[in-house]
This record gives sequence, structure tokens and C-alpha cells, in this order.
Amino acid sequence: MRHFLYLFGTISLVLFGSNCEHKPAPPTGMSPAASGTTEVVIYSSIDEPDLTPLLKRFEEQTGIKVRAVTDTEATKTAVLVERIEAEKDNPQADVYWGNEIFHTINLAKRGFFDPYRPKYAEDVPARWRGKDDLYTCIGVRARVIAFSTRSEFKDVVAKIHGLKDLGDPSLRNKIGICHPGFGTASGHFAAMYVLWGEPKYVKFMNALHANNIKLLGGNSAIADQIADGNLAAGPTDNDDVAEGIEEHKLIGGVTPDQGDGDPGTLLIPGSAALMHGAPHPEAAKQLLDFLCDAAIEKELIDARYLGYSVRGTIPVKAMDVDYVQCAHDMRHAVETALTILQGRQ
Amino acid sequence: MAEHPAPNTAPRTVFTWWYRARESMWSRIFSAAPAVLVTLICCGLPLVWTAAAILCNPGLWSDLRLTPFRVELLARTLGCNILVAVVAVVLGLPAAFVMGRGRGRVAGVMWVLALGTLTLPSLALGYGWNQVMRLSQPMLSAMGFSLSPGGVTDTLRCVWILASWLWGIPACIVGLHLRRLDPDLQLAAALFGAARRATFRMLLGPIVASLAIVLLLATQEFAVYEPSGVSVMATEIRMVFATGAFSSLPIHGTGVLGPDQRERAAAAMMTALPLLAAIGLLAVLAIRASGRLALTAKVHVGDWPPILDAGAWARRFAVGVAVVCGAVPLAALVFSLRTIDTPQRLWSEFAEPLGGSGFVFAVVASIALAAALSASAIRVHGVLGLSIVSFLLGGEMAAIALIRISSPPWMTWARDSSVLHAVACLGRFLFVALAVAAATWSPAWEDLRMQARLYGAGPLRTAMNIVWPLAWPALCVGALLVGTLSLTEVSATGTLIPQHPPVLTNKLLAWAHAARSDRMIEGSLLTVALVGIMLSAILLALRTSRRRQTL
Repeated sequence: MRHFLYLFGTISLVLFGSNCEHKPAPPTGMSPAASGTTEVVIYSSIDEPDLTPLLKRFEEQTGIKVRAVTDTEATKTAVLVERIEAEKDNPQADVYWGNEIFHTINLAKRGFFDPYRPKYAEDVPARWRGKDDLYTCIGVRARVIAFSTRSEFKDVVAKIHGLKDLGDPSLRNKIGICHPGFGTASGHFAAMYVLWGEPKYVKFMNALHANNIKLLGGNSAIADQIADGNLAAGPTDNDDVAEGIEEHKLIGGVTPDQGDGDPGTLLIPGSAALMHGAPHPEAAKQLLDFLCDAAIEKELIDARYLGYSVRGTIPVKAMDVDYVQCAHDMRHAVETALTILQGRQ
Repeated sequence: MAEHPAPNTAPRTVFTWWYRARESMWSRIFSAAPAVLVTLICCGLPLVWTAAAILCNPGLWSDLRLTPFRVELLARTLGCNILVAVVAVVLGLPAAFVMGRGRGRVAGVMWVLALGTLTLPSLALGYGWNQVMRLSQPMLSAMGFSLSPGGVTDTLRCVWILASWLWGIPACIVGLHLRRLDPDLQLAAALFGAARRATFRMLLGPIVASLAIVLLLATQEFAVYEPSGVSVMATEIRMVFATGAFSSLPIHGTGVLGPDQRERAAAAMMTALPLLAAIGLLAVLAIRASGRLALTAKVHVGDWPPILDAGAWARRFAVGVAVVCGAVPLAALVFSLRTIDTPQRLWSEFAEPLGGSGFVFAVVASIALAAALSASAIRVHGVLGLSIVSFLLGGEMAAIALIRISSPPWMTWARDSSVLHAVACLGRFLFVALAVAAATWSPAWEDLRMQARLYGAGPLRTAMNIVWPLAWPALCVGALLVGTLSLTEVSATGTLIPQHPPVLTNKLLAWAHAARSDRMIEGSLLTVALVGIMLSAILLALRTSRRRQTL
């Protein structure tokens, strides 16, 4: 037993030791920033593979070390918001960069952000900025309807041009959507509620329920199930479809409601903000300047993470909806949807 | 019955002074301190915070009502996971016979495979089985099986993924009990032609305990069900916590965030209470049943006659289960790998998270071992119960509680390091180590402790000379299990997002979403390799230790 314990202790010591950080002292005469020991903490729900290269480049350019706290698909955005709220008396984050806007609006309303207009964001239209510059939008994603390109679904998916087509009886048992309680789906349901009003919203939810729509645990799960041929179609984010196409999966996407008289699709801007009481405010402002640069936005569009720029004309018809109102009505919209879709009456 | 060491042959170790003070109050306090402190900090603190959140919000108590939808959800959650437990026990029993009454390399390999499968992250295993399903989908479709999300086949797929991950629990628990079973009783039963029936009766307690443990673990693995649209209670709890929907929380005009995080946490707890009550009831029943149904009253630590060896059918079935549950998903992962990165690229990508996961493993396993040794030396009532309640609290709720507890500025050191993550993992899984320690206080061990007391040994000396030399493999396995579960823990890890150092689980979660399947596969295989290396080192130590004892 003693030998076992010795080995156990040795392994533990090695692992402890391997994780002790050795922080070399900055060279004499250099400021902390110049020596690279100043750091900035960012909380971000941007997909980690897209985020990390950007932050590494920022570190190289400025010498400021970036600590990124990211989330996962299972706990998208919500977990970072919970963390920010838990830390409200002792903020740890300097910058918040969310992949949507509804949580950002709520955080701004509750005083979690300080006003700051990033240096390279002068050309961002006022529509994509928070009141008093509490946040700035970086690129836009769009809700699309993903569909299977398998031959057996060819006829049914050909009919899909807008959200309301998902209520077509020919799609019964073949459609899915992300659970309204999680992710960007919450915002999408809220937008439908605000745009259509309660009676039309309830009617649409009843149609979806009649079609036995599946509520899955994430937008990527929708894209995966469609690519695997288990579903024919379902609303999701444009980047999930783009990833599937890039991986040569049997999936395609259509931007819904683009015809004359149609309401357009929901655009979901990413949003970055300076945290109130940020421990490293100057470094945070530098990072925000960097992130809000048009070149970064273009890079994310080229990587197919973002759909469109906030700076130019967006080539899709967008829902004319008040995001602040959506954030306000989100809980009621979610409850109404789930009451119908899950048969809670 | 084992031969007991002579009372005056105490080894000269650094603990010698403890022998002298063995009967003193301080000796008892020092012996109990690790178990008590670890349990209070890791399990007690989050529970106290949660209880305070509930008690301070009496307006939410109405959320305790069970709507028909929530009754259905509760039934579905328990139904699916009872099925998981049954399948896991069916898969694990033949392996348990080989592990408990097998000889030679097959038995040794089965121990490694049973523990090894448990160490696979459910995320990686699920991803592996998804690859299997993807590769075999044409065949399944031709056979008329539909994997429509939330359908019967899809739900059974989730059940199978969890059962094929957790079969090692019944295998290890029943196998250990079989090793300790008195062969005389089995031989006597064999003479009357009732060997199987009698053995089954004697193992009924461990089997029921295994069912309960698998059920408890499976209930919290909502990540396997949710992508398929199989809503479980955890989905509802998460939704209530994130949005405040379907709670009696007022909407103050702040939208989705609701009024306050503490109130939403309280509402989520109210939603969770029926499930917790049901699980608690099952756990109590299982514990009582295992105590009453265990017919063996003695601990046997010697050899057994060849007639009691595991049969050929058990060996074949056990090997088949191990191959199917472990090798098939891993092979599917390897087959699905499209490009293989260079070692340098792999190192730059994975070195930091692998180190982080290893660090957390070492911390958690070490502390769990200390707590288990302590709890087997001095009986401290309540620590096991507290740790079980903490486990039942669930990872996300515990993590939120820890975030709020560590919010004051003077706790930044804990937030900045992996301390919180380690505390959360111990809060979730410490009960495993403490349950193993509690087993050394069962009636079966009472004779040993009683005889030691007759020779004049105090509690600590009894532990060091009698209990630990016999029980240390089980105590170490319990601690290692806690460590390995911390490697694969998802719900608390996904909420705490440890960054100093980062851990592999969060990377896997990120890649699984990004459909970067190659990264996901490489990360999964590296996690398995990391665990394999640790298990190999432990096995090597075990063999060395045994050889020295033989010499």
C-alpha cells in the first residue's frame, strides 16, 4: 500500500508542478504592458475555434495577455450571463462579447456595462449600437431554415420558403427546432411574438404542434439531425448550416420570408461591451477597439461564422423588430410556445 | 477469516506518535478532520447556500406543485434511467462474476476494462456511438429502424449509450463483493444444487446498490438526452434557471433574466425537488435493501476452490460486453478520423487542457483518498448522507452556488485557479469514496474491528493495521473513480469553465458543437489515453505492492 501511495503522491506532485505558472519578472525599465504581463479578461460566447486565433493576434500586436472565458453549445451564452451576474459585486471580466443581442440588452439594462465607443466603430450605424454606446454590434448572423438535401425529402422541402410553411401537414414528424428556452431560439420565438402579436403567434405554434415538431437541445443539433436525414427541415443559425455544407454534409439552407409582403428573417447581431468595474479598463478598451475593427468582422464572415457586416447593406430582408421589446417579452413568448408545443395546457 | 496482525507489531512510521495518542480526543479529531472538512467545504457549503436561497424566497414555494407535464417529465426521466440501470446491471453481471471469481489474465483484464470504460467521457463515448449509428444508418434504415429524434429507437440509443458507459459500476461493485464472499457458503449451496440461486441472494444487496448508483448517475447525464429532444427533468430545471419560465417569479420588466439570479436558482431548486425526493427515496430504499438482503456476515479475503470459478459462458459474455462497449465506439472514432495531425500540432493544441484535466484529477483523487481513509478510520455520522445530498443537487446548481460563494474579492484566488472546479467535482462525486469507506463499517467488517478491539487496539490503530491493509484497494478505487469522474464531468465544468488551467471537457464541448469532428475525436482519444496511462501506473503499483507482500 505504501508503494502505491508513494506513486500516487509522485504523480500528484508532478501534475501539481506542471501547472504552477512561472511568471518571469518584467525586464527593468519596461512597463507592464510592454513586457506583456498586463492582461485582459474577456467573457465570450463566440465559438472557441473562431475566437482563439483573433485573441492570439491581439496578444501579438499589443503584448497584452488575454484570458478568454468561453462557453459551450450546451450552455450557450446563458452560463456567461449567470457568471457575470454572480460576479456583480466583484467583476472579473473586462470585456463581454456575446454571440447574440438579447442577453446583452438585458445586461445593459441592469447596469453591467460602461459606455464606450470603440475607436474603429465610428462607421457602425446607430441601429447596431446600444443606447449611450453601452454595447457595439460585431457582424450579424441570420436565422435560416436548414433542410435536408436527401432525395427522399426533395418534394417536401421544395415547399419551404418561410417560417409558416413549417406548419404544412406534409412536414408532420419531419421538422425540428431548438428548445425555445435556450440559445438564439429564445430570441427567435420572442421576435415572432413581437412581430405577429399573440393571436398569430399562438396559431403558428398550434400548427407546429400539430406537425409534431421536435424540440432539440441546440441549433447545431438541428443541423446534425437534418444532415443525418432524421429530420427534413428546421430553423437554425446560418453558421450551423455553413459548417455542415463545409463538411460536405447533406444539408442546405434557405433564408425564410424573403418574398414581397413577407416579414423577412431575424438577424442576430453579435455584441461586445465594456464591463462596469472592469479590473483592466484600458486594456479592455484596446481589445474592444481591436474586435470592432471592420477587418475582424470581415474575417469572421469569411470564416462563415458571421453572415453579414453591420456596416454595409445587408443583402437579406430582415424582420423589422424592436430587439429591446423582444428581450422584454422573451419569457412570455417562451412560456406561450412551450405551453403549446409541449402540450402543457 | 483473515489472520490478524499481532497487536505489538506496529510499524515504525511517521505516524508512530499517533499510536501513542490513539485513545486521545485529539487523535480522533485529527483522524476525522479530512473527511469532515472536505465534506463540509465541498458538499455542505453549496447546500447551505441553496437552502438559504429557498428559505429566503417563500413566495416560490408554490412552485413545488407538480403539474401533469412535470409528472410526465419525472416519469420519463426515472423510466429511461431505470432502464439504463437495468441494462447496465445485465451487462455488468457476467463481468462481475469473472472479476470476482475469475483467475488469470482474463479476470485482471476485465478489472482494467470495467474501470477503463467508466473513465471514458460520456461525451466522447456518445460521440463514438453516434459515429457507429452514422456508419450503420443505411443498414438500420433498411431494417426499418428510424432514428427520428425523441422516437423509441432514438431513446433506446440514449439508454444504450449510458448503459454501455456505466456497466462498469455493477461489474466493480458486485465483483468486489464476490471477492469478499465466504466460499464455504457457496460450496454448501453447491452441494444442494443451489449455487447460482444462493450466490444471487448473497449478491442481491450489491446488485440493488449498483442499480441505485447507476440510476443516480444516469439521471444527471442530461447531455446525452437533450440533443435528441428527449426532455428530462434536468432540461426543465435548466430552463427555469435560465429564463424563470413556468415559475411563480414575477416579471419585473427585465425580460429573460427575471428578477434575480438567487431567486431563479431558488425556483429551479423548487422545480428539482420532486425529482430529488424521488431519487432520495430510491436511494434510501436501495441502502436499506442492500443492508437487509446481504446474507453474508463475514468478510473473506482468501482463495476460493476451483469449483466456484466463473464459467466459460460468463467469460465469453464479459469479454463480449467489454469489446462492444469499449472497443466499438473507440474504433468508430478512429474510423471517422479524416486527417491525423502531427505530434507537434497535437501537443500545441492539447498540452494545456490535458495538463489541466490531469491536475484536477490529481487534486480530486488525492483529496477523495484522504477523506476515504479518514472515514474508514473514524466513523463520522452524516458525511456520507451530506455528500449524497450534494450529489443529488446536480452539477449546474452546485456550480452556481460556488460562483456566488466565491464572489467576494478575497476569494479571487479560488476563482482564478482550478480550486472551484475541484471543489465542485468533489461535491458531486465524493459520495463514491465515502460510500466505499462506509462499507468498512458494515456488519461484515464488525468481527475484524471487534477482534482488534479485544486485543486493545484503538480506532486509528485498528484502521492502520486491520482495515486499511484489507480495504485499501477498494478505498483507492473509490478515490480514483472520483478523480476519473471529475475528468468526465460536464454540467459543473460547463458552468464554471475553469481557465487556469483549462480542462479538456470544455474543449470537447466546444468542438462537438463546431462539428470539428477531427479535433473532437483527437481530444476524445487523448482523454482516453490519459486515463489509460494513469490506470496503467496504478495497476503497476498494485502489482509491485502485491509482489513485495508475497516476498
